[in-house]
Amino acid sequence: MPGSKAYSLAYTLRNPLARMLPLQREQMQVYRLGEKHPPSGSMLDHAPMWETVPFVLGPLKTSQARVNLQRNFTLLAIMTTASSVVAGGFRAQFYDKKKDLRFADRGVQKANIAGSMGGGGFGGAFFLREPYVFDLPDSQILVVVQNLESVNNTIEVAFYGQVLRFNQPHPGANEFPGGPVTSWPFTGGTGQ
Amino acid sequence: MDPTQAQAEDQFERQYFSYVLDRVVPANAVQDPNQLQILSDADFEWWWTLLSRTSNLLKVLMREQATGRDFIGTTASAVAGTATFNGMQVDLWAGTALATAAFPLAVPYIMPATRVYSLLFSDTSGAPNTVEVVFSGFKLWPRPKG
Repeated sequence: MPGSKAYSLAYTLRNPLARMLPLQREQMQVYRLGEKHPPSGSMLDHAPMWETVPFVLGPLKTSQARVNLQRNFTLLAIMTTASSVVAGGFRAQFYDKKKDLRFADRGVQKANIAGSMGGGGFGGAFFLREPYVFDLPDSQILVVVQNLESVNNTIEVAFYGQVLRFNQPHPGANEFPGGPVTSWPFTGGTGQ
Repeated sequence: MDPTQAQAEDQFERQYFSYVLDRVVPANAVQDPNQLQILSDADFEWWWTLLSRTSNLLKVLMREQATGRDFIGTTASAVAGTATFNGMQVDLWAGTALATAAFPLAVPYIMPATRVYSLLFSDTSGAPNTVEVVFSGFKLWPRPKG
C-alpha cells in the first residue's frame, strides 16, 4: 500500500541467541536434536542417563575415576558441584579413554566447566551445542579431579547423555522385557 | 521410512501434563523408596524435570520398574572417599521453574501407561527434607484415523 511502512522488528524484544536457534517450539531451542516430534533421528530409542562421579578429596588432593559407559553414550550436558569453592573449588579434565582424546588442553576450573541446576539461581548445566558420542564398544570416560581448596571438598560431576537401551537389540525393535510402548506406532510388531 | 520423516508424521495429539511426586524425606534416610505410576489412559512423553527441596543435602536415584533401567548411575571403577553410591545430588539433576532451571531432556523419553518409576532419596541434612519432583511433558493421545 502506498505510504505504508514495512513492518520493523527494531523495537521488538528478541533473545540475542535467537539467531542460533530454530524458530519453532521452546524445546527445540535447547538442542538441535530436540526436534518437534520425538524420538529424534539417530537418537531413536535412546534413553536418558545421568552418569555421576562423586569424590571426597582432602586438601589439594587429586583423584581420578573411570566410568564404563552404556552403549552409544551420547554426551549432552555436564553438571558439577563442590562443597567448597573459596579457591575455585576444583579443576578437572575429562578423557574419552577408548579414543585417547581429552576434552581440554589442560584442566578446567569448576566455574568454567559447569554449575548445578538447583539452588535458586539460573540453571548452571553446560549444554553441548553438538553432542559428543562415545560410539566405540566398551567406552569409558576418565575424570581427573584436583581439589583446589585447603579443606576437604565433596565434589560431584554428572554427565547427562542418551544411551542405547540395553534391552533393545537395535533401534526400532521392541524392548524386552516390558514389551512395546502401548500406543507407539514405530515400535510395534517387528519394528519399522 | 527415515525416522526423521516418520516423526514429522507423528500420529499423536499432545496434551500438556505433569506427574508430581511429593515427599517429606525423613532425616538421614538412605534410599527412601517412592513410587510413581503413569496413569493407564495414555503414554507420557517426558520432556522436563523440575525439582524443589528444603535442603540440597539430598541425593536421588531413579529406576524404571518393568525394565530395571537405572537412569542415574555410576560405574566409576575408583570413586574416592565415598563408600556407597546413593545417587546424584538433586541440585545437579534439576531445579525450579521459578529459577529457570527446569532440566530439559534432549530427546524426550516415553513413559508407557501403567509403568512404575521408583525414586530413592538419601538425605544427609539431618532434618526432614520436603521435596517435590515434577515430570513435565505431554500425554500422547492417538489421533483418530480418518
